[in-house]
Formats: sequence, structure tokens, C-alpha cells
Amino acid sequence: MNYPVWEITTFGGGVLVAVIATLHVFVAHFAVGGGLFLVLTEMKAYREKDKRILDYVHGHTKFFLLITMVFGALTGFGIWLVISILSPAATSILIHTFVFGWATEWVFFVVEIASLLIYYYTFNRMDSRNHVIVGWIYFIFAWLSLFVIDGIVSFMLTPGRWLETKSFWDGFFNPSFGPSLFFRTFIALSLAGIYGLITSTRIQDDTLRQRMVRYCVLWLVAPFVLLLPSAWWYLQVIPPEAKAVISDPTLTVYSVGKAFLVLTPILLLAGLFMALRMPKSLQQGFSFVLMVLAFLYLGSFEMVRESARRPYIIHGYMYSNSILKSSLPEFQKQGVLKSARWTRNKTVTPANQAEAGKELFKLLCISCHSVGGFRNDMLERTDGMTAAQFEAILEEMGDERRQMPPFAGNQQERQALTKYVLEALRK
Amino acid sequence: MDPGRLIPYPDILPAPWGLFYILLVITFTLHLILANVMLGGGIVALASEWLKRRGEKDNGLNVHKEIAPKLPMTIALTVNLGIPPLLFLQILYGNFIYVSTVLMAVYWLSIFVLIILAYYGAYLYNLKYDRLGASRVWVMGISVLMLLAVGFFFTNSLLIMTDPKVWPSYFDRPGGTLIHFGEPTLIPRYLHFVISSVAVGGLAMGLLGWWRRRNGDLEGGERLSRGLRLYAGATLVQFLVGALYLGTLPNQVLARVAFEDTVAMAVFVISIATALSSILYSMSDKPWHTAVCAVATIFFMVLFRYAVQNAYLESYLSVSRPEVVMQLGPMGLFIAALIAGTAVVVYLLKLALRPGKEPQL
Repeated sequence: MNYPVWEITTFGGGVLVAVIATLHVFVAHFAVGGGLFLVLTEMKAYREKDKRILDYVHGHTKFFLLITMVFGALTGFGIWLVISILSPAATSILIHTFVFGWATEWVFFVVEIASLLIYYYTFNRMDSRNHVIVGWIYFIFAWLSLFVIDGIVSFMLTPGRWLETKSFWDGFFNPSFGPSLFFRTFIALSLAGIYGLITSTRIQDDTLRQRMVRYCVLWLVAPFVLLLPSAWWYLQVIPPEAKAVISDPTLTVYSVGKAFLVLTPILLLAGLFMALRMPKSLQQGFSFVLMVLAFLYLGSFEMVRESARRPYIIHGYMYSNSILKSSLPEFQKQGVLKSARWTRNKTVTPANQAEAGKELFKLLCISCHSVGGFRNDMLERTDGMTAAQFEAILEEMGDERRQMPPFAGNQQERQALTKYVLEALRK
Repeated sequence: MDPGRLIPYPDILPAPWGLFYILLVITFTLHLILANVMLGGGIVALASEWLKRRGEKDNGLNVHKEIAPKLPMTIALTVNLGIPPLLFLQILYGNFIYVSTVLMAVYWLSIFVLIILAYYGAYLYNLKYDRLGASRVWVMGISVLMLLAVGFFFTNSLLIMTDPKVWPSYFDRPGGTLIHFGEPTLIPRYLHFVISSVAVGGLAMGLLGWWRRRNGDLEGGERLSRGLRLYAGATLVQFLVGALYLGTLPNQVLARVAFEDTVAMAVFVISIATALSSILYSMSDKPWHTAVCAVATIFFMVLFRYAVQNAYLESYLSVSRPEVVMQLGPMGLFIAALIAGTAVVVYLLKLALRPGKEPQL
């Protein structure tokens, strides 16, 4: 309640974060797993003394560079931009708590960029041993970047002892840090295989193409042996409230979670199917299908993880609408409008009810609800509702409606919000 | 409405203010130099393409082909070096910059999309250089336009951040579309950055010419001279734009940095001296002397810039100084990573600069 709220309607409800973040993680994980893929495939070329494999790695490096260094890096920056305007208070906590973590990650990113540019631009111009060393340096630092980011991202779901100590290390090495790191590492390796299929299916030589496609299929499938136990481990460490949210059949996240489970065997089988000898055009087309499946797979995982945090943005500390859990009683006592800095109306009066209702909607609802948009559309959800029904929902928030934070206002504010949502918002 | 009431509480700092301030100044200087090289390089390449298209004589200005492979790398490094100053800015002035970015959310969010377009444009320009033919000027033109827009949005956000008086306009325009045209410094401040980019772009061109001449390329000398002349000309224009910028500063800010803050004034005088020296060196075809003076000028200008920013925020900062709770361990981790990372980058560069050798198959 410290910051102004960006008034966004159609693209509200977190849809911007969801789109940018999903696109980013799909490329960012490839940037890690793909690094190992590059160097191991290059070593394979030397081991098998096959110049054609080396040429393939060279071409794949260009593809890798263009995807990860431009789109991957910039969408990562995009996440930072979007969260700072949608949840400035939470972003500020993440920045101030982990500034040295972010700064360390930046150093790793510098090494990543330097090593990848050198790896690409010295291809065929550096002796094999040194070139492989450059490749390994890239992979090690890309994985170290994942290590740091994982500590901060997993903190939001399971801040653990940080809630009491506020210590960097307690927040970083939080309960879900380990399983999340393992899960992400294995998904990164699997994605390396999927991206590898995009380029390997374009190889002209039929025999080499089949060989490299099967090699990529192995990359796709093998990590699942450890990925599945990691996912199970992950599920064991998340808080009971989070488990309750994702296993609530009335919530969208439940269906998304089911989709994630269903997609696991589909992705594996589709991957194995790629290993069959097929014409080039079919292989090419199917590699894109696999890409879409993998995108949905990772997207559904991220959505479940994000939703599991609800009603918090930092679990047990700050609610999705940026109200600190510790401030809630005070807010409920004196009212949201009076407690928030960026409000014009400090109390609700008969004269300002509509305007105050709008301010309350922005402060309390807009972080998760769009207006006529794609996600949690408030107009659709409250269509045909009576004031009594809407107020009953406000009453149930944080309790029966566990994915929503408790209503933070007083009685007058409850009425003003109800009136605004059921009347003015629909005009 | 009193804008002071709108300033959010700052969060706890994990190290003293001064340490982050030093890190901010150093990393912002480095970022600014690269951003100038990037935008200036793009502008020089575009101008070179344009002149060639108009059929003017080559005369050593045909530098766009030379810039083509370097521009994507420069964008990568500029983006990378843009991260730490933004991080340290959010640490020190988070309660100001977050407000500013919400007030201009639409433009702020567009920044990463614009950079992606500029970046891919630069790659397209380089990788399909011959195939693009006459379309090259459009590809580079669009990339430069995107980068110019990004620069403008950053200028706007930093200006809104330092001027809480404009913040109450949020209540009338909460959709995140604020461009602070009400502040007369906006345009001169932005032009100051653009002209500086042209100057540094010229300097980079001069240094490339020097490198070519050193390797026995006869065209190198001509490029060196032209690049340095561009630097000198743009820097002279910069004096006019800079004067305009100073002239449009609010009176109390100008009075603070010009008469009350002697350190700020000293820094400003030094920066003028180094800028003049750089012009003299550039006119004598001394690229490295020019470069050293130009870097010093940018560094002192950055220091002066923050003095101006603090003068703007003086009354607001004094009431919202954050608490400090030291994080020694994590700070040690960062320092260790920085030392190790630097060593690895030096090692990588050594490997890269070794004479080329075919891979052994």
C-alpha cells in the first residue's frame, strides 16, 4: 500500500507477468541445458572424428546465441520491468533482501556473455581443447546463474526461516531451493534436447540426421529419470496451505496441475516417437509440435508454482495485493484508504462512495483480476451477483476462499467496493 | 496535494548508502559509455549507409560494414552493464524510481520489446548484410529509432523520479502514460545523451581507424581523422546543449549545485576541462588521449548528474533515509564472485586472442 497502482483492465490480473515469464523461462532453461548440449556434442564430434557433427554444433550455436542471448536475456529484463510496475513493493523486498545475490548473478551473466560470444566467434578458429574449455565455462556459469535465481524465485513460495530472521541465507537456502534447483536443472537438460531437434531435423544428410535426432531424443527423455523424483520432492516441501490451493478442484490451478501431469507421458512418448525413422519434413514439423508441448509443460509448471503461492506474493509475508500480513489487522481496523499512501479519498462518505470504491478496487483486486480481460475477469465472475452474494465472498476471502487474501478494509469500504464492482464497473 | 506524502517508505539497506552510491556511479559510467558507443555506432552506421545511398563518395566514411558485426556485441554488453546501475538505483532510490515507472508503466514496459527489436535488427543487418542490399538503411534506421526511444523513456523515468511534484498527476492519469513534458529539462537532457552518443560513436570510429592503421591498412588514417572530427564537432555542440540543460534546471537546484555544493561545482569544472582537453586532442589526431579525456568527462558528468539528482530530491531524501542492516556474508560472496568472474573473463580473452588454429579432428 506504499505505491501507486497501475490502472490496467484487459491485460490485468497477472496476464502480462504470466506471458513474459513463461516465454522467458522457456528460453532461460534452454540457455542452461543447451550450454551442456553444445559442449558435449562438440566433444562427441572430436571423439567420433566427425566434421559434420562439428558443423552441426556450429550452426546450432548460432541458433542458440540468437535465441538465448537476445530473446532470453531481454525477456528476463522484461520480467524485472513488469514486476516492478505491477508489484513494486514485493520487487523492492526482493531487491533489497537479495541485492548481493542479484549482483553475483550479474557477474555470472557477464561471464556467460563473454564465453558464449567467444565460443561462437572462435568456432573453427581455436584449437579443440581450448574451445571445449570455453564451452564448459559457459555451461558452468549459466548453471550458476540458475543456482542464484533459483534461490530467489523459490524464496517467494517458501521463505522458511527468513520470516523470523530476515537473513539473506535463510531466504536463499529456503525449503524448496534444493528440489526446485534439481527440477529446473533436469528440465533444462530435457529442453536442450527439444531445441536440438529443431536444428537437427534440418540436417540434409539422411543418416546423420537420424543419428542426431536420436541423440537429441536421448537428451529429451533421459533427464526425466531424475526430473520426476525432483518434482515429487518439490511437492513434499511446499507449505500445506499451498498444497491445499493446488489440490482444490474448484480452482483453475487444479486443472493446470492435472494438465502438467497428463503432459508428462505425452511429452515422453512424443519424444520417443521422434526416434523413429521418418521423412525430413515430417520430422521437422513434429519437432515444432514437441516444442509447443514442452512450452505448455513448463508453462503449466510455472503457473502451478505461482498459483501455489496464493494468496501471497511472498508466502506468509506479503499478500498478492502488496499488503503485509502483519499490517492486516491495522488495515481492517482503520481502513485501507486511510492506510494507503496513494489514495485521494481517505474515508468513505455517501458523496465519494463510487470514487472510493474505484480506489479500493485498484488497491485490493486489480493485482489478480482483470476487467473484461483474459484472467480472473471481474465482470464475468460477478455477473448477475447480488450485493449480499458479493459481500459473502468478501467475508469468505482468506478462509473458504483460501486463494484470496482476507478483505483488508472496514465495513464502509466493504460496501463501497461492493457498490463499485456491481454498478460503476459495469457501466 | 503535498507530494511528500506520496513518497513510499524505503526498504532496509544491506550495506551503507555510500558503498551502493560508489557502485552506482562506477557501473552507470561504464553503462553510459557503452550505451553511447551503441547508439552512436548505430547513428554513424546509418549516416554512412545514407551517404552511400545518396551516391556520395566513399572517402573513408564507408564504415557501416565495419560496424555491422560489432553492433550486436555492443548491444549485448550495454544491456548487461545496464543491470547493475538499475539494481543499485533501485536499492538507493527504489521508493522514487518504482513510483516513476508506475506512472509511465506503458512506456517502461515497452523498453524490453524495443531493445529486442533493435537487437534483432542489428543481427539481421550483420548476418544478411549483402542480401539486404538497399533495405539495409531501413533495418538500421529502425534499430536506431528503437534505441532512441529507449533512451527517451529512460530519461523520462529518471526525470519523473526526481520530481515528486508531478506525481499527483497520477490521480488524473492512472493508466501509466505520463511523459513529463511539463519539465523544461526533459528535451535538453535527452539531447545531451543523444549528442554524447554521436560524439562517442565518432570516437569509437576513430579508434577503429587507429587499429586499422596500426595493422597497415591505408584507409585507417582517414577513418581515424573523420571519427575524431565527428567527436570534436559533436562535443562542441554538446557545450550548447549542456548550457541549455543547465539553464532549464529549476532555480533552487541550479543554486544548490552551482553555489552551495562546492564539490559538485568542482566536479563540473573538472568535467568541462577534460571535455575541452578531449576536443584539443581529437583535433590533433590523438585517439587514445581523446578517449581517456572523454571517459574522464563522462565519469565527472555522471558524478555531477547525481549531485543534480540529489539537489532535486534533497528535501524528500532527508525524510526517507533508509535503515542499514549489514549483510557481510552476501557482500563477501559478491566480491568473491566479482574477482573470480573477472579472472575468468581475462582468461577467456587470452584464449580468444591467441593465434587461430584449426580444430583437431
